[in-house]
Amino acid sequence: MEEKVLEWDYEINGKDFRNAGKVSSKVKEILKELGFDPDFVRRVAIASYEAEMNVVCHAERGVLHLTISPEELRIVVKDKGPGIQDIELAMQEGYSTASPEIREMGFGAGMGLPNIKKNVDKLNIASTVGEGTVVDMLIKPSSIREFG
Amino acid sequence: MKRSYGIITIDEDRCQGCVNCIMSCRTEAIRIYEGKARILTNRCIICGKCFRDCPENAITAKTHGLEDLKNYKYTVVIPSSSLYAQFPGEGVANKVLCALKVLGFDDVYEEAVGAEIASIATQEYLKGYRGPYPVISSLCPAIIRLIQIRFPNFVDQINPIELPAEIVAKELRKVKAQQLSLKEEEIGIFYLVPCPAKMVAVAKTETKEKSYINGAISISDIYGQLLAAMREVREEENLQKATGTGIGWAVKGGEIRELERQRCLRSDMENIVVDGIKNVINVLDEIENGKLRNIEFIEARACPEGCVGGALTVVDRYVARGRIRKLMMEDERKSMIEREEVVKRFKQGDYFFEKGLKPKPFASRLDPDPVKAVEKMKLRDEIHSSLPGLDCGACGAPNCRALADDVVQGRAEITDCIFKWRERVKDLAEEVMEWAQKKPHSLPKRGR
Ligand SMILES: Nc1ncnc2c1ncn2[C@@H]1O[C@H](COP(=O)(O)OP(=O)(O)O)[C@@H](O)[C@H]1O
Ligand SMILES: [Mg+2]
Repeated sequence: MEEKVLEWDYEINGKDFRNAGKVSSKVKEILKELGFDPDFVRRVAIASYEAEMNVVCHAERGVLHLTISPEELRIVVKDKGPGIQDIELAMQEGYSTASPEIREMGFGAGMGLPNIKKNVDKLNIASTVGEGTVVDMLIKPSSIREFG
Repeated sequence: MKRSYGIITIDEDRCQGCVNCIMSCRTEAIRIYEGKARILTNRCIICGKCFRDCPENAITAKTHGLEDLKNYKYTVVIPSSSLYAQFPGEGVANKVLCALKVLGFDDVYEEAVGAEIASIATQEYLKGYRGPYPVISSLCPAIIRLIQIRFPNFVDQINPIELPAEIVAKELRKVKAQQLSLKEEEIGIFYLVPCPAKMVAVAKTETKEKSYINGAISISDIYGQLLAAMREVREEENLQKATGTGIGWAVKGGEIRELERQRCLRSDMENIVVDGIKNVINVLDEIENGKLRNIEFIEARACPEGCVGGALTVVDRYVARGRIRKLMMEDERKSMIEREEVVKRFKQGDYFFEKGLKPKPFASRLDPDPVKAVEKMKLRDEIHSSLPGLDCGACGAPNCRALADDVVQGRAEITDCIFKWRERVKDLAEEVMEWAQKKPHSLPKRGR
C-alpha cells in the first residue's frame, strides 16, 4: 500500500509574477496523466492556483507539497512570510490586504481563500504572524478510483 | 514508400529522419523510428504544422481531387475564404470563383456565406447562453481536437454551431436536388480547404452522423490548375455573394470582429483572439487554473494569422492576411443573408451540431489502469531525471521527458539516448578491463 503513494515538492517564489501559476499547471498535468476525471482536475487546479498565488502575492517563499494516495489527494502549501492575523476574516469573500500594485495586476479580489474552500473537501489553515502560513487541503475524487 | 496515418501521408523516401517535425509538433505527436518520421495518431490534432516545417515536403494530406467530380451528376464547390487571398489584384475574388467553374464544377457557393449565417447563429446563442464561460469558437477543427484531448473540461463550452461550409452544404443539397430534379446523392459537394484539420472535419465528422460534404480538396493541390483556368475566364458571371463580414473569418479576429460590430458581446466581460497552438494551450491552461477570468468568448486558431496560415494554402500567410483585411475593409456591400430568417431557423435548431462532441482525455493518460498509471509515472520521472536534459532529439523523441514517456510506454529504449548509450559502453569497457586484469590463482602474483 505504502508504495502506491506519489509525492512531489515544488518551490514557489514570492513576488515572482512571471512564473506565477506554473506550479499549479504542473499539478494539473500530473492529474491528467493519471487519468482523473476532468471535474476533479478542475477543482484541484483552482485550489492549487489560489494557494500558489497567495504565496506569490503575500509571502516571501513557499513550497507546494502534493501527495496522491489511493483515497485522496492532499496539497500542503507552506510558506515563510507575514502570516495571517485573523484567519476567519481572511476567509471572508472580498477581504484582501493586497497592495494597490498587486490589484493593478488583477489579483487581490479577496476571493482566493473562499474559492479554495469551495473546491476542496477539507481545508485547514494554520498561521503564525511573522513566521508563515500552512494551507492544508484534501480533495477527494467525485467517484473514488481504485488504486488497488 | 508511403505510410499513411488517417488522411496524413509521410513519404518515407523523402523523409530524411531529421528532427524538424518532432521539434515543431506542439502536441509531441511525432517520433523518428528507424530513420523515418512516425505519427502517434492519438496525440495528433491534424493541424498540419509539420507539413510546413518539413524541409523535404514529405508530409501531406489528401482525401479527394478533381478526379472525383465524375462520380456525380452535378457538382458544387464550396471554396474556403482563404482562397481569395491566394491571388493578387482587385476584384479577383469573383474571377477565382468563375475559374472554379472552368475547372469543371457546375456551381460555386462560398463558405463565407455560411460564415455570415454562422455568425448570426452564434450571436443568438450567446444572447441566450447561461452556461459556464468562456464560450469557445468552433471554427477551427484542430482546436476542437486539442480541447477534446487536453482540455476535456471545456468540451461543453465549445460553441455548438456547425462549420460554415456544413451549413451551406446542408442547404445546397436540398435546394439543388429540388431545382434539378436529382436525387440528393447524385449531387457532389466538394469543399476547397486550407488545412488538413478541415479535411478530417469532413471525412470523420464528430458532430453529426455523416457530413453534408462529399469530399475535401486541398487548395494547394489545384492551385496551378486554378491559375491557368483564371486566364481562360472571358466573361465573368457574378458569383460572389459573400461580403467582408463572412470573408473575414479567414483571418484571426474575423469572427469576433462581427460579434463586436453587432454589439452582441457583453460589456462587463472580455474576449480573446489567440492564434498558434502553443499560445492557445497557454491561454486554456490559464483559464483552467482560474488565472484568466471573466472571459466571454475565445476565438482560437491553430494556425498563426488564422486559416490563411493553413498548411494547404500557397501564399505567405502575412501577405494573405493583408489581402483578406482589404476585402473586409473595402467590402461594405450589404449581406444577402436575411437576419430574421436565420434567427427563425436558429430557433428551430437548424444550425446546431446534430451530435454532441465527446471528450477524449485518454490520449494524455499514461495508462487506463490507475495503478499502472501511477507506476508508470514514478518510473517515467525516475528515467527523466537520469537523462541529460538537453532535449536534443537525437533519440527520435522531441525532448528527454517524451523519451522517458516512450520508454515506460514500451515505444523506446533508454539506450536510444546517445548519452545513455555511451555510458553503457563505458561501463561495459570498464568491466572488460576489470576482467582482463584478473588472473587465475595458479599463477604467481607478479609477472606474466
Ligand atoms: N499565504 C499567505 N500569507 C499571508 N497572508 C495571506 C496568505 N494567504 C492569504 N493571506 C491573507 O488573506 C487575505 C485574503 O486572501 P485571499 O482570499 O486569497 O484574497 P487575496 O489574495 O485576493 O487578497 C489576503 O489579502 C491576505 O491578507
Ligand atoms: Mg489570493
